[in-house]
Amino acid sequence: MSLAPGSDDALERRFTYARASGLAIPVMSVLLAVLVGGVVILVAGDNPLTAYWELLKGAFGGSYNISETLVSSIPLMLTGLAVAFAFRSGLFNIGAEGQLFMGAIFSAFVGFKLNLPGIFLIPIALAAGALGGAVWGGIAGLLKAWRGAHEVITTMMLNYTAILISQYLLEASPTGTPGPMAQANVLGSPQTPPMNATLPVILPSSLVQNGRLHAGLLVALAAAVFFWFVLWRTSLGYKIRAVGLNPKAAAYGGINVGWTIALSMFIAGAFAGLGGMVSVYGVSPYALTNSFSPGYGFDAIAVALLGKTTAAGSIAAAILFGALVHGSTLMQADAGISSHLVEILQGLIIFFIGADAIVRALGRRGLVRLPAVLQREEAAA
Amino acid sequence: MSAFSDSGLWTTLANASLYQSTLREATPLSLAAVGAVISERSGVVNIAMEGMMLTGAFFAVFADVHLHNAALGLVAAMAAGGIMAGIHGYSAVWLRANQIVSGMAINLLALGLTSYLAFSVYGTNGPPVPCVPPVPCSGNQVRTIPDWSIPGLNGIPGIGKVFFQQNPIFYLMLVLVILIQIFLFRTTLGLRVRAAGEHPRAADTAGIHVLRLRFLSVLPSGILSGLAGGYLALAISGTFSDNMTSGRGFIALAAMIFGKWNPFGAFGACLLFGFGQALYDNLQNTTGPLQDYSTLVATLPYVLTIVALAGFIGKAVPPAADGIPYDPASNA
Repeated sequence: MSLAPGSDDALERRFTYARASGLAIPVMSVLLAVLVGGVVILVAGDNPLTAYWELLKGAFGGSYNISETLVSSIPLMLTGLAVAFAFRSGLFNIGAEGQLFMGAIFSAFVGFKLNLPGIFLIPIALAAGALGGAVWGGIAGLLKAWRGAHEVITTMMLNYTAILISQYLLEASPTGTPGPMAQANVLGSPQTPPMNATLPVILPSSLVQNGRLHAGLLVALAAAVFFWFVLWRTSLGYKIRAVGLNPKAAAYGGINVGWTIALSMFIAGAFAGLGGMVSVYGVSPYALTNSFSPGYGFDAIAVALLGKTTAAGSIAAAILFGALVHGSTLMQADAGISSHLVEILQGLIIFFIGADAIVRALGRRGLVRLPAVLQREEAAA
Repeated sequence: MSAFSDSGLWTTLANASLYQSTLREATPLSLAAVGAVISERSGVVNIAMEGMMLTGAFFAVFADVHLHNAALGLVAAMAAGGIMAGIHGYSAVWLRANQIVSGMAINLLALGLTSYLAFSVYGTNGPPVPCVPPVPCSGNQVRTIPDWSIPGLNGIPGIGKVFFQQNPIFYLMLVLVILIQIFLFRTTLGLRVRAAGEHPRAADTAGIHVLRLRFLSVLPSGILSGLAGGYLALAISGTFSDNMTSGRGFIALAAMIFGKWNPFGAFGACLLFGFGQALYDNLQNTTGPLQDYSTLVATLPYVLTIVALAGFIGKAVPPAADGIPYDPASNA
């Protein structure tokens, strides 16, 4: 791969994984992570088999847990799509968390300000959430396009800015003045007033008792279809893919690279913003709090990488991580093993995907069957 | 003047403790930031200072409590940070992994690992509590690193409190910043490190073992981030808590960029960001209208970094080959 040193795009372009076909690397990365995670559990003095069994039971044992796993995975699907979409134009969007927060803030604002029936309010809130995230993603996209500011750093800084803005809007000041968006006279952690409409639960109680699976799932699936359609069935998608594969060739071919990058970040941010909206409107307390996200936007990086930056892959990876998140809470309650095991596994999965040389080395020794693309790369090396 | 005193800003700015806590806040940031300068100058992007710091913080407390010695706690912190850096360096340099992906992995792994171990080692009782000096320390308390109060100098009005009542690690940090500046710009090895990050092919041709040099340059970044974590755990909080670094590693990253990949520059940026944090803390405790906006003041480091990166305050240009894995076998 010959690239001028110092090319801004060299960093992303070295990351061939996104384009390689086949499931060998994602599947092997998960297996290796489970293996190494098991060693960590063992060293810490717990039984890895118990841990993984409880994790699995917690995630998929019975219809209620399956429904809860899906509830946990909905925001991850949308933030995962946000990271994956930006990846297609060659940008590493690690700002899904900030975009999620801005989407949540924008959508929560219309939710308690506008006293409308759900049929009007929900679409407005969806638009507001998408806009909030899109603005936040768009800032990074525009700065990259116009000023060459590296999106990894700008989106990281925008994450912290968005989280602090949310804190400012909700938390009472040291003098006791409630935050500008906070509901007065609420005990416990501050929150906005409840939304005037919510996303309906989509599973009948005859199927799942007390099930919380809400229509946000449909929003996420629609977003995934939109992701695929824009990328593969529109000229914008063609431009985004061209810029992601080779910005210089794309520019030579007459594509406005800067504008394409900015638009891709705008759309990516909108996905994450929708994630914020469904988090506010889909689950109790149906209001914006400071703790609504356990890091959906950060987990999204693992989701997008594991999902090979495709729409369907991101949905599948989000369900896996949703299962880890929900399963681990039950694992901690039942087996007394810390739910932070999830972050260890996520970290390891990302590590093995990044260090795909490890899986390739296993392939060379005949321990793993590599997909044809990787076999050719190995043969050429 | 009355407008200032009314807002609470003047009272805050006139208080020497604002500047004392500025230096206190700047210490861990500077350690991590100047360490990262070495790594990035050699061509390895390091966004994993947060994780390395957090790992350092946990193992500082862990070793401190087990060995009843704060200095050994710091050594453990540096070793733990160094090991995390070794993992990052191994995958980034030898396996040619994407360095940002590897860095994110280290951050997540460290967050999970330290919280998991804290839960597994200390259980529901929570991590050990600090030992407060006049009372004799019991076996399972954290030996902290007390501030030095330099006799004679600490009494100087204003600056005495600011410069001469600080933690020993603060003075160590000052020395390290100067040494690393000299190392990178005044020594042959420093020149080689920079060559590996600017034009690895040329450095290789000149007989420099680029891969080894890059790997070795990542290590100090982990060791210093680990020390920063040890400082937070043993000198500031006296204990470990989940995610206790709370973004300082990322602020250090921002400071490194703000300081244009230069130790002195990074240190200056850390002073600025430390000032932002200290101002936030002090405004919260100072009566006045600004008190209500202290959270917004806390966004300043992040906003300033974006502004700097967008080239509105001079252009921040990374080393030319920063983040690009070097493959000696390819003819690119």
